[in-house]
Formats: sequence, C-alpha cells, structure tokens
Amino acid sequence: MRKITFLLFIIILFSTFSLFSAPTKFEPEEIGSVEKKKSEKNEEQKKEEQKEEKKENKKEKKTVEKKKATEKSSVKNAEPALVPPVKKAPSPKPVKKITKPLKKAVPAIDKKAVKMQPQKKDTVKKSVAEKKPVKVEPVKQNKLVIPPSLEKRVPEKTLPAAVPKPENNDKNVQNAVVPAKPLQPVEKNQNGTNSLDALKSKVVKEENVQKENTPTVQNEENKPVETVIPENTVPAPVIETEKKASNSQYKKEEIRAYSPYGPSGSDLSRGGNVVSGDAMYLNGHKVPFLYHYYGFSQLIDNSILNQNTHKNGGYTSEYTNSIGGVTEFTATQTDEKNHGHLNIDFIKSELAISARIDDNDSFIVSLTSSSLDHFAVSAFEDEKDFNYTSYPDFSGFYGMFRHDFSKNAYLLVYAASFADKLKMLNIEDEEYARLSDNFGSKSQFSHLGIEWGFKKEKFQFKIMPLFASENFAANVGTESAKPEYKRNYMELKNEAKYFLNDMHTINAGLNIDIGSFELASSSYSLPDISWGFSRKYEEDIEKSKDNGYLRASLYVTDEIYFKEFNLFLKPGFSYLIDGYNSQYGIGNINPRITALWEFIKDIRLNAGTGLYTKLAPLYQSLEPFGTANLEPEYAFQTSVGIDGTFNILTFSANVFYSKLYNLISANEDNPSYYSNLGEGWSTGFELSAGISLKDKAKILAAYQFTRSRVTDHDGADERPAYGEVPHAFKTMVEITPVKEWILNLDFIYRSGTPTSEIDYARYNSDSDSYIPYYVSPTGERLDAVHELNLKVTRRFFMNKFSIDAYGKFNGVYGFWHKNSLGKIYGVDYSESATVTMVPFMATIGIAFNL
Amino acid sequence: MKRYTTAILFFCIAILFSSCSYDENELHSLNDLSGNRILSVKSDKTVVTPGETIVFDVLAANVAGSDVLWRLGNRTAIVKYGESFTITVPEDMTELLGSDAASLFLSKGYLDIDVNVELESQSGFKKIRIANKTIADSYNIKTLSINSIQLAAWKDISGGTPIYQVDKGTEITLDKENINIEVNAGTDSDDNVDFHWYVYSPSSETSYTDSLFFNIYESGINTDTVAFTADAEYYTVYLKASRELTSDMVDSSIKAEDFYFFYIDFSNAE
Repeated sequence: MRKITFLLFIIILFSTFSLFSAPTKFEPEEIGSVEKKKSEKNEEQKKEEQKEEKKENKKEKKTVEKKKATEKSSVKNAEPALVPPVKKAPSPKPVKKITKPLKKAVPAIDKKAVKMQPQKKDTVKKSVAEKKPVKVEPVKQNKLVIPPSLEKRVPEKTLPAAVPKPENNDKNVQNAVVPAKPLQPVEKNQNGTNSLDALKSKVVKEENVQKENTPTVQNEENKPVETVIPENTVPAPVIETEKKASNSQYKKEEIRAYSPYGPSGSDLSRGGNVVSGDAMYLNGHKVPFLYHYYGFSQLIDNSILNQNTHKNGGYTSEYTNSIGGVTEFTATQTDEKNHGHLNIDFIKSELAISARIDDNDSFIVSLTSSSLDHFAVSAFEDEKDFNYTSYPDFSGFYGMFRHDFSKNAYLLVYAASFADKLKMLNIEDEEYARLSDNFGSKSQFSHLGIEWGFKKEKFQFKIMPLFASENFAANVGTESAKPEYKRNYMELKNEAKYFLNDMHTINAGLNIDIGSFELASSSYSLPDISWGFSRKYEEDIEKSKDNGYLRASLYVTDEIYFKEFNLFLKPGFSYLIDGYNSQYGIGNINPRITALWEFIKDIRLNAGTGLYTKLAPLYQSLEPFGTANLEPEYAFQTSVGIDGTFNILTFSANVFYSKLYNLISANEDNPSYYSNLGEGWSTGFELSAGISLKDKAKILAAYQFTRSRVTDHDGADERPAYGEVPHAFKTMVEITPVKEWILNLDFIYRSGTPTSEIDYARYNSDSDSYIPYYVSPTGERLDAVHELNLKVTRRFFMNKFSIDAYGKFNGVYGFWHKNSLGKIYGVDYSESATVTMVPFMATIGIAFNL
Repeated sequence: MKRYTTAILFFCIAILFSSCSYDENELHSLNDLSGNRILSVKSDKTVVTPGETIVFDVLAANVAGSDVLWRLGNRTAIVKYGESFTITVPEDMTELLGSDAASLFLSKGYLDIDVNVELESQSGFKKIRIANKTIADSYNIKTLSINSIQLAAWKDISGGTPIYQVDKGTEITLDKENINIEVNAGTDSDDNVDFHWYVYSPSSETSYTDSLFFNIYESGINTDTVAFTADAEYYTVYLKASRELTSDMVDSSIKAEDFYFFYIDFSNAE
C-alpha cells in the first residue's frame, strides 16, 4: 500500500508541477463558452483586452477586406519560415468571429480543431501590432476541413509538392484544418515553423500574387470561393494558423480507428503487406516499436505524437529498406500555446508537457508508464498465487528541446527511451525457473537525435544524426530458450529540397547507418510461427558474437505539379547498399512513381507503384546463428486508392497488391542456414468511413482485408505469412449529449494469426529439456480476438484547464469471451493449454488538460 | 472523503485483479509426471576412444516392460526397458558413422555424436564424444557417478538398490513431515554438479501448485539434499545428476550424467 501511496504522490506532484508551471493561459471557452469566461476575468484585464480587441478588430476588418481584394492566393505564395510565431494570448471576440463561420461551414470539424482558431488571432494581432498590412486568411483557412481520417490518407510521401508545406504543420494535418488549396502536399520532416516575420514577408509578396488557377473551397458564408494554386517560383507555405494544433483526443483516436489491429485496438495497422517488412518511423528514423505488446497503450503520449504517413504500399522513394507498409510519426514541434496533459488510471499513466520557453525555445516532455504493473506488484505482493504472474510492464520517455535561430534555421535535440516487458508466470522462482510454462520477453530502445534545419532561398536542408541502441531478449518455453539481440548504431541522415520552379521540386536524401550488434543464444528456437520463431536448432547454440556493419541509402525524387489538371506526379528512385552482406555490395536501385489527382472537389484518387527492397536482417546474417551474405528481399508494389469528404461523411478506400521475391526462409534440415528461396504475394483492401454530427456524435469504422501467402522454397506448400490477419475491423463511436459528458464505445475484431501444431518433441538429456517439432503450417489459426470497450467521461471546465473524470471498461463482455493470446505447453509438450489475457479490466481515471 | 476514496480504490483494484488470474491448475498440471516421459539418458563413459566399449541406459517415468530402440550411427538395437545398450566403438569410424564423419574425426581428433533412444512414443538423445587417446587423456574425469543416496536419520540406499520398502515393525521410524534425502556424487572436481529431482506420487492429494515442488533443480559441489513432507503412501524418487566435462585441448564441453531412482512405500508402515 505504501508503494501505491508513493506512486500517487509522485504522479500528483508531476501534475501539480505541470499545472502551475504553464506560463500561458488555456482557454477552453474557445470551444463555445467565451461569454462565460469573459465574466470571470478581472476588470483590468477586461479593459486592456477590450482596448486591444477594438484595435485589432479594426485592423482585422481592414485586413480581411484587403485580403478579399487580393484573393486567397496571397498566403499561398509566401515563403515558408522555420521560426514559430511569438505567442500571445488570444482575445475572445475575434475568436468568435472566426470560429463561428468555421463551425457552420464545416460541421465535421471537431471541437479540438476549433480550438486552433484563437491562435490565428494571435497572428492577426501580431500583424496588427507590427503595423503591417497582414493578409492573413484565417477565414479562408478554416473553410476547408479535411477530417483527420481523410487527411491521413493524403499520401504525404507520394505527393509531389509543387507548393511545399511549411515546417511543423504536422499536427495540423491531424487536425484537419488545412489551407484552401485542396491539394496542399504534406511534406515529411518539415520542422520549421512560420513566423511573424514570415507573415510579414508574405504580405509583401501577396501584393504581387497572381489571381488564377483557383480550385474552389468554401468561404465564410459557406459558399464556394476560389482557391489559389501557386504560380510563383517561391514556394508557398501553409499559413501560420495551420500549425496550431490542438490536443484533440478525437484526432488521436482516429489514428487508432484507422488501424484496426491489436487486441485492445491501439496497435497500428500492419499495413496489409508482409508484416516482417513493415517499417515504423519516429522523427525520420526507424524504430522497432511504439506500441505496447498487448495494445494497452502507445509509448508516447498521444497529445504530442503526430502521424504523418501511413501507407500500405506504393509509397515514394524516401522510405527505403522496407517491402511492407510504412508509418511515420513525428514529435518535434510544440504548439504556440503551452499544453499539459496528465492522465492517471489503474491501467496506465501518462504525462505530457508541450511548452514554449520564449519566442525561440520550446520543449516537449512525455512520460508513460503502466499503472497496472505497479498496482499488481503492490496489491498482491503477499499473495503467493499472484507472485507467479508478472504483468505486462511498459514505460516510455520522450524529451525534446528546440531552438530556432531565425526563421530559416533551427536546431532540435530529442531523446526517446522505451522499454516493454512481458512475463507470463513467474520465471524468477528457482523451483519453476526451468519449467516450460513461461513466456518472457523484453524490448528496449533508446534514441538520441539531433536535427538541424536551415533554408536559403529555394533550398532547404536538414542534418539529422542519430545515436541509438536496441535490445531484445526472449524467454520462451524453457530457460535455455533465450535469444538476445543488441545493437548500438549511429545514423547520419541528411535531407535536401530544392524548389526548381513552380512545377518541379527536387528532393534528395542520404542515410548512413553504421554500428555493431551482438547476438547471443543458448537456444532451441521454437518454430511455431505463432510465436514468431521459424527455426529448428538441432544443436544447442551457446554463443555470443559481436559484429560491425555499415549500410547506406540515398534517394532522389521530383515532385511535378500539373496545375491545369490538379495532378501531382512524383517519380523517383532510391539506392541501398549493404556493407555487411558485402557480397551484394553493388547496391539496389528502386524506381518508383506516385500520383495524386483531385478530379472532383474534395475527392482524390491516388496511386503508386515501384520496386521495394529490404536488406537481410543482421541477426539472420550472422553465423552461426544465421547465414552470411544473404541477399535482400524484394517487392513489386502497386496501390490505388480514393479518399474524400462529402458533407458530414469522410471516406477512403485503398487496394494494394505486392509480389514478393527473394524472401529469406530457414532451411528445414539445417537450422543454421537461411536462403533467399522464398516467394510470395500479398493483396487486400482497406475501407474506412467517418461521420461527424457536429459536436454531438462521431462514428468511425475501418475494415481491412489482407491475404498474404509465402512459399519457402520451390516445391514447398504455400502457407500464410507470419502475422497474417485476413479480417480486421474496428468501429468507434463518440457521443456528446452535452458538452460535459462524453461516451466512447469501440469494438474491434480481428482474425487469429496463423499457428502450427506440435508434431512431436524430443528429449535432450544434455540440456535436460524437450525440443518441440512443429508440423508445417497448414492454415490453422489462433482464435479470433474481439472485444467491446466503453468509456464514460465527465468533463469539468475550469478557469485555466479542464478535468476529465472517467470510468473505463475494457472487454465489456470479457467474462463470457476470453481472447486467447496463444498456447503454452508442458515440459514435454505432450499437453497444452490456451493462454488468455486479462478478459476484463475496469478502471476509473482522471485527466488534466491544459 | 477519505473513506469514499479508499472504497473506490479498493473496488477498482478488486475488479481489475479478479479478472487477471490464469487457470493455474490447468497450466501447472502440464508438467506433472502423469504420462510416460524420458527423464535421462546416460552412458558409463562420456568421452571414449575407438575400440572402447560404452554402455547406455535410459531412465523414464511410468514405463515398465517396454521395448527400447537404441540407435548410434548406423547401429541399432532393441532391448527391454531396464536393460543396457552396449556397443564397442570401432577403430575405423567409417564403419559406424560413414566416411565424412570419419574424416572429420581424423582432422579434429574428436567427434560428437548422438545416441538416440525411443520408447512408448517418446524419443530422446544424448551426446557422447569420441576422441583420440591424446584428447581423451586430457579429461581428468570422463564420466559422472552417483556414489550414494541416503535418507537422513535412516539408512543408506545403496547403489543398485532401486526399491526400498519401509517394513512394518522396522526399528527405524520415518518422519513423514520431514523427509530428507541426500545424494553424493563426489568426484575429483570442484565444479558444480546439477541435480534434478522428481519426487512423484500419483496418489498424492497435494494441490497442483504444491506438486510442482516435486520437480526440483538443485546445484551443488558433489552433494545435494532435498527435503519434503509426505502426504501419500507411495512415492517414486527420480534423480538425475549431470556435470560438464572440460579439456584444455577442446573448446567445447560435453556433459556426463548419472541417474538413480527408488520407491518409498509407506503402505506397511504404522
């Protein structure tokens, strides 16, 4: 109990600190209670604000009038800037002016997105204060609302950026408020911010903006107006207001809704392709995982994590060394306003702070941990029965500091460290240490990254070195089965962009990955594919071995914009070289092309095709655990999709097909030998749709069908690929009958993953253990997983923050249906039992939102 | 307020963990010695030279009167369970293992091969090392032998006496609450010997959780002791001892092992 008390104390301490350390005001009233808030302000503040507001309203009226006269193109043609604008408290009146038309025009927008509006006021106010004829277009900017689900479908990498998006607008992508230009491309790793100076310069340039090429969007009165397609050779940024992201929970939930995998619904989609070929990125660098095993939580708090890209195939050349899907997150940008988020319940705890120190400095801190684990240990430390079970344990830390030297240069440093552990039954007790009914694994990684970005005229450049380490260990079956893999490495990554003219933008990048890794094992690997092992060791390998490696990749793309057709094309190629498997050091060239065409307003077709390469994993290439000089795996991918918005409905559909070559497979007779004899294919489709009924209800549904088959060698039977999930479905419903109450329901279903039965087991007298031998996979699967989750939230709006008190029920009908995690076996594998995990969890929690 | 807070905390934790338990009986029962199972394969010499004779034995639970199939290289034999499998390693390794293995033996000076055993749908194997005389002599110990087993405060169980019965009226009484068994596998080495005990009773009413106590791993220098409380009339005690053998001339080690088993029968005891 003392541990619980101490834990609560620490958490409350953190929350207190975050609450009182926030230097700027939070105004939840911007959602709709501006009047109420105003009454709470003191007289002096009111007077001052009223004065300012009068001035600003005048200025703003002038600005808006001027803007109308000069058309929306003005903003589009301004230069992107890397410096964030000076933060300033927004004033209520202009907020109302801006937000109301937004709500009317676009009922699909969520509350959190609306929160962004006052920050637009900041921009206006700043501009006025500088006595510059700022032509900010807050109204126009808010006209077109692309729901997050749709926005995520924007093939960021696949879109050529005739008009590059300004840096640090990642969150805005999620928040669905984008400039009027419907085909505004989303750029990867743009980490600068627009500044007041940038806006000033924008205004000057707007005077000469051409008024043509204007797709339509809606204006304040919800009527169509024209959108400006840039003509200038100077790239146009997304206006400053766009990067003011909110901490929209809804936004984040959509990330999950879009990814219907995972027993608890928070796992990412596997991309529909070969699971082992999928890649996940954080701040431009690959990471091994970002989600807890069982999906209890992700390892970085939602409020600071932005999903930039999710593609199941047919993506552009920037993503190298992957033959599956790609998903990219960033957490490199703070909002102009400070945000604090603290969430505590009995399952997990999260703390996130995103704050600005001054105009040029900002930071992010995120801590996540498993409350469940702490409570389990504390509450039952004296109960012998519970000592036999170690609950899932995960923790994550992310911290970032950013300094903007000027509008054209910035430097950020971030550290990320995550650990995810899982043990089933106690393996620390000596009496049971060598029994087979245990499963334990540990996954850890740490990143220390630096990013220096600068731009000069038409040229942008980023230097992104990374120092990282990974550690994976597993304990499966018996004590002797515990392979361990460690890697320490450094990535020297650079990205460059050159705006050639209004039609062509050239992107290029180089990444050098150099490091060492160690593989240790005293293991008989289990070939049951349900556990992810596919090898049969005839001999016990008790070795540890170090090795160094060097791998490099580069890419070049050309973003071509055909304004007359509203069409983007992005041809390009990547080149990989594997310095470790040096026999294949000549490298691999991957040509690819993607396209995006908005053939009807707000409805887009996208397509991509090309060659994709994944270098052989290091652990498979190290003898005696693997085979030296393995060749890369290849895929020829094609993807076609459509997405759009129609009134309150957003939708997307995507079809993909991949032909897989040169897949690495283990030799059935010689466990130390891998070969590139495998082939396969993968196909499927994804459907998603969302409906938003103003602020009252939101419904999201996503379904993915996947069929992925592999043949290990000539003459072998075709088998399901490891991790293949044919059907995955998730739906989420959020109902807000009154603003103080929120009801969330989500349901997930996914097919069981492939598994294989044990044929027989042999006793090894020397190791005093049994070695299982599995039959070849024949299509047998683990049971399907499905569950219904319910959350009821009561929201209290305070002066400077809001508090959510909620009750959450994971697995509402879990007592009647237990989702299986897999099978465990007795010491001689003659008997088995099904492992089920936490069928029902109920918790209450509290969340503070600044 | 404090009372309500405490109540809520208790309620949530209770719900949380009432749903987190496993079916432990099911999981633990997977490791009971309920069926037949090979527990050990031993040889009288772990390191042998060509021309020497080697004797193999197998220990299995819940097996009686079964045929045992032995296979070493291209030699096979069927013997009754409880009988030994004896084979002489030929001078020419080609005869036993084929030309490739013989060449490898000549080039390396030693060769590890598996002896395979099958009985009642169970299979197992053990590795032995065939070495030339120089390498074989570099092992100061070539095998492991359990020298004695003793019930504390009772009497010795001499080697080769697998069955012992507590007769009614015996002058030595056995405390069922505190049964201590001591084993001695004394050798010239100070290296650890690993002991694996199975104290198995099919009639025990002990719960599954506690029955795992009967499957014990211990490690000690030459000797080890195990203690338990008896709640059944009939027990089988299986003991396996193993130790790594090392040589200055060969990098990898190889394991030697020995085993014993005996019964404890309280049915006639007062």
